[in-house]
Amino acid sequence: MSRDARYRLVAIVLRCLAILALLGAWLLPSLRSGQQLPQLIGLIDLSDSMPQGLAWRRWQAVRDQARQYSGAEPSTVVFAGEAQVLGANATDAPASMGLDMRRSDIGAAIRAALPQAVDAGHAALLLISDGQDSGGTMMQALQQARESGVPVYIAPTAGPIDPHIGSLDLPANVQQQQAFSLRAEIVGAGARNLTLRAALDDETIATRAVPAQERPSLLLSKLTTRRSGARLLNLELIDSRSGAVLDTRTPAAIINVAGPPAALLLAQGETPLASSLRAGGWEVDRHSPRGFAIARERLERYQTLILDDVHASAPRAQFWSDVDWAVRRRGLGLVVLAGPRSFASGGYRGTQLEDLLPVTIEPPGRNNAAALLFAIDTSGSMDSRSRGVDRLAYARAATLATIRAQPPTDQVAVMFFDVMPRLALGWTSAGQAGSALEKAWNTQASGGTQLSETLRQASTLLALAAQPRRILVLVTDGFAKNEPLAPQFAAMQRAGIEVTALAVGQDAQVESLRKLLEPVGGAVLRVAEVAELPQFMRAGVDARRAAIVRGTTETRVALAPPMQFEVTSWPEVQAYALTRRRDDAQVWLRTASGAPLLAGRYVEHGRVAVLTAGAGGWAPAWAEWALFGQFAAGLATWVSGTDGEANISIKIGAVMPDIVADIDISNASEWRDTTMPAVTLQNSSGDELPVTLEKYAPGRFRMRATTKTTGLLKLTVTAAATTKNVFFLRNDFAEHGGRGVSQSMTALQQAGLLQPWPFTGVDALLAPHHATQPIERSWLALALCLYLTALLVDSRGVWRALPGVARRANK
Amino acid sequence: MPAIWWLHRTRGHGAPLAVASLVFWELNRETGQAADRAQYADPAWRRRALLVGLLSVALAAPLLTVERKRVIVWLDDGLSMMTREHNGQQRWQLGVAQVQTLASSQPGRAFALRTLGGSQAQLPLTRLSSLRPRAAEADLPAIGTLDRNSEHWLVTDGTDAGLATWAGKAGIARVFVTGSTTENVALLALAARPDLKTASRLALEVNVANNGASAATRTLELFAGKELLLRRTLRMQPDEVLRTRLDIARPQAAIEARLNPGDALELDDSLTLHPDSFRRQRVAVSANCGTALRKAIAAHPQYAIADTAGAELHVACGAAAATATDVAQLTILGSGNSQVVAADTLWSQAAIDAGVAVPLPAGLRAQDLRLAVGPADQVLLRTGDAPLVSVTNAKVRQVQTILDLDSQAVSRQPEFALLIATLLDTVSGQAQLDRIARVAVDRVATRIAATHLPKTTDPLRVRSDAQPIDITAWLLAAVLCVLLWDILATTRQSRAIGRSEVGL
Repeated sequence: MSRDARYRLVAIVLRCLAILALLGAWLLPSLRSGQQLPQLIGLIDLSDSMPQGLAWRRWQAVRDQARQYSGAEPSTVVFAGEAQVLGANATDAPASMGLDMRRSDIGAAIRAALPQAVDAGHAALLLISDGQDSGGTMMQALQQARESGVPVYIAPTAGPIDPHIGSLDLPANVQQQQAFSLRAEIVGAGARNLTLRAALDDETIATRAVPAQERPSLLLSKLTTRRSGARLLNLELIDSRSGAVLDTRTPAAIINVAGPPAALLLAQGETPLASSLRAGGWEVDRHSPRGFAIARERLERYQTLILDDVHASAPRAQFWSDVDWAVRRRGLGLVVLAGPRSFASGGYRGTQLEDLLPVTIEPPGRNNAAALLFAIDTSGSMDSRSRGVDRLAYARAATLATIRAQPPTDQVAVMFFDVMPRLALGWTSAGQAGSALEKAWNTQASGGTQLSETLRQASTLLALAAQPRRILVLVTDGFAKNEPLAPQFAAMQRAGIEVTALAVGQDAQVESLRKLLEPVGGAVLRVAEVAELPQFMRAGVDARRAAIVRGTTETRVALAPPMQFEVTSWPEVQAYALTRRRDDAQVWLRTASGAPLLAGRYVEHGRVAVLTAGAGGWAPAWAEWALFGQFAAGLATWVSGTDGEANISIKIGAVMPDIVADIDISNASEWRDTTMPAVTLQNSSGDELPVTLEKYAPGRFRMRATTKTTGLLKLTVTAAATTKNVFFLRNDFAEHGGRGVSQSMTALQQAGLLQPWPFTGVDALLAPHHATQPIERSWLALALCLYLTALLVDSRGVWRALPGVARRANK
Repeated sequence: MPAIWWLHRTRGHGAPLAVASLVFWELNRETGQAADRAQYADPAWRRRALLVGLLSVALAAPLLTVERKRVIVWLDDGLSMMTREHNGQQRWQLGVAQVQTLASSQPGRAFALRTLGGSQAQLPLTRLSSLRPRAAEADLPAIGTLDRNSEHWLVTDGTDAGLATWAGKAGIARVFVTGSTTENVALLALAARPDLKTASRLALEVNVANNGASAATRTLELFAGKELLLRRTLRMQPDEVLRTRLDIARPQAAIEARLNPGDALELDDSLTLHPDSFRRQRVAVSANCGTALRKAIAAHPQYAIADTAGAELHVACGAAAATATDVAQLTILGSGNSQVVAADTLWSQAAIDAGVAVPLPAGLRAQDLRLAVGPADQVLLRTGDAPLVSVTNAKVRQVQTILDLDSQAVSRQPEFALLIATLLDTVSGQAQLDRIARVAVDRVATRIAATHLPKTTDPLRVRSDAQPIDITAWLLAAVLCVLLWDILATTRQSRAIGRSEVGL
């Protein structure tokens, strides 16, 4: 073969190799160039059910892989109860970021990421989660992603299953003080020694070891409870050795304990009303009103609150706000019984409590003239030099202001005292006493304090007064404890002298004064800040001068009382607080002059009744009345709203994603729905949630609430003078009790809405894109080189054209 | 290219020509390079230049951008879009006609139609001949997820506030608002419920709303089949809703409510309750079920024992009770031996949440069997670790129990009837004793006055060049063809030269 022939052969071979290179470019799988990983957006579950930090670490590993294949930095969306877009620059494991860790809203996370994914054109979402969704919109969000052409991958992520409380079996009904059982599944216990504690509200009903032979299902039997009503079942799983709480379900369920209705009674001692209610089957919890406070949620268990001659200042201030809320919003029944310490004397005027009552308190009586003796402590402790505040100056201003507020028919006298009393102003009509006292007030604070002689002289002075009421106003900042004052106060009570003491200053011996005065009907007002002395003195005198009508009074029927029993005659009363009926109230019993004795009123969801003569010392005949038990039970039942004109049935149909409740209203024979019921839905804090109400069918209304609130919820329905409450749980069990990867993830994968994440490497995601990136450029370059070489070989004349080559050729 | 041309000047042209004598070339003094240089390049250089050019372009990854002028028309298929306007056409027809008119003037653009009722199918604009109103709220695509390769238009009547808000944010480029009628009186709901005291009677309720801007008068007629139950004239102020109640004997035929005269939106002028929705449920009880169970089912006011054909529920008893696949079934497994259940028999929390936890009769017995519970089943009642009642929430509900429901002592207790009713209700999926039959339309959907006109201030930024197409593959095919051609041509030339050399 000649040299040229060999050249030509080589050129043809090179061309053939070029063809092979071109075919290789077309057919051989691509490795890198020209291929793109989808823009990855990680949806990272930070909720409580996820092992801490695991999801983030897993995402970091995926991001590191993805960076090798993609120019685009993966983007991050973290979520729990809400979703937050962190973008591509999130490098550190985020802290809680203010998310609600008790929930995981996977749907919200997908929706947050979708716009970015769609904008990227070629993107994929990676969900790193256990799939325990509590948002309720995951399915819709996944469908939206599918419609948008954005694949969603799931990297199921869950930690080891720690010991926890699983499913519960509960009794259908529980009776108060009757044995019942419940069963709890204990999951992941292993060989650990565990104890399960069960409580209804704060009442522990069982603390049991979890024996190995009773796992995974532990029966708690022979449980009893003393209290009725809707009770929250709280469970705790405890490590027996360390005492560590391994899991809690608070609340795990609501158990409705059937039993008698419960009433909360605030009274100084055992009262006829309490005895009657107990005899009538009521459960009565009696407490002293002084300093009384109760958590708002604990008020829930009572149908009725009874205030038996309770002073407004006796319970803590917050109590009245809670009562107002419970009556108006929850439908708590309220019965207020009058007596010497309540109504006007109890400082009800202008208070939240008065706003609830069916009557208004009449102002202090002006037609019941009184003799008022002001005894002012002028001992050294009242001096400005010792305390920094001139107490005596405030006492002067308070006395003058109070005297000027009294009707001119009153008689007023003023005495100062330290170790001995001295008269500053003798009996003077109230109209002239003010100016007279201004001139007569000439005293300096000095010396100690001796009360006994002062009281003796005050009694003497008051005995000389012509007015039917005699009132001693005692202003002091302390007294000698060893003085025998109790007999003197008792003597004053017997003489009809009423005592109001104002204890001035933080260090005043208030409790000692109360012990002395309250048994004899006296009142003690603590004036912590001396600047408040004028206000307190006037209020104290007003309360003491309250409009109380004394004397035997016939009880008349104004309207048939709502209690379901027959009465031919009602007992008379010996005294009553003078009140005036509110426009929206009903007076059932009245005096001959028309003053209310028994009145009631609807206040939003609640009912309130008052007995202005009470059931104690002002109405002794009532306590001895044969029908008093029925009357008391009837009154308590009426205010509790359980005897309403309608039957209300509430069925909670769904709690996710919306809360839907069907409310049926009927009377004995037919569906009743002429007016829309009042419906409120409240969370455990008492906050009201927005609801919509739809007339659904005869007798039925459908309530719907769109909310993310979880936990204990309460639905209150009032219709036709009847109120009904239903408690239910909208729990975050998915976060709390669900452990491991949710089984719903498998179903969603089968439905094609989720795809399993290729754990072998992100390069597996490249596979679907081969068809769109077919050409391998390096093979093309090779083909070009081969062909150009073939041309050079083929054009061997170029060598001969070169000078050196030509010379060699010529030789 | 010049290099290739130059290369083809320096090489030999064609095959050597054999001659008898060189005498005619003796005077030729040219030697060396000058003797080899051709006066013109080999014509093959053009083919080869083409090949190299194509390959070079292919190597540069050429992209062909084709502008897609696609338009997606979102069609509001709410109930109000069925309103018939003065020319006799419905609103959606008017809107689509407007779009078609515009489309015909833009022949280069592709149009596709999508409804908001959840259908994902895109229809050609011209193929829509009828439209059914969507049953639920508009299934609007999430904000930010509209296809950016298309322009988006919307056809609506401006009655849906949610749609107007969406249109303003989603990037709709053009909105066609259609319809001008404002007056409509609508039948909102027709509901029937068993009477509180007499199960053979129904309490009926009809809600009618005047959604127009002026007072209206209509005649409401209620029929049970062809029997007129009620005719009442309703005078209604704007926005007023009137509720009509009456009690009737439970009819065998459908109950229909009509408003006369009809108005622009015909679809809300009548509502019909199918008789299946308020008649007793038919239960087929297998022959080997006990009499106590049969009596309890027969005594239930809302269940009736019937033949297997046409039954809505099956009750199967016995050790080998077959599981139905096409109808909901209560399977009561039996072994012949039973014993009183333990005191720790408790309902599961799921049963309590579902409202099926009822007090159990005293002395309730269970068969000496183990109830097989699958992973997808839900246990409702359990004693110890042994499930007594389970439910399978498949497409067709199945309830299985090993409770002995043929005990005479137990069946005399009122709790027994309650338990049977609860089991049947669990199978049927709803409480039958107080089953409500209802057909309703959303009041908002029946408002036909345009009060929520969408704004289009923020149209979607559509990608004008759409997705580029990689044409490397096409070029590669061309290169292969040219290369094969070149090889063939070169080979033929080589053969010719070879033959010439042999001839020399």
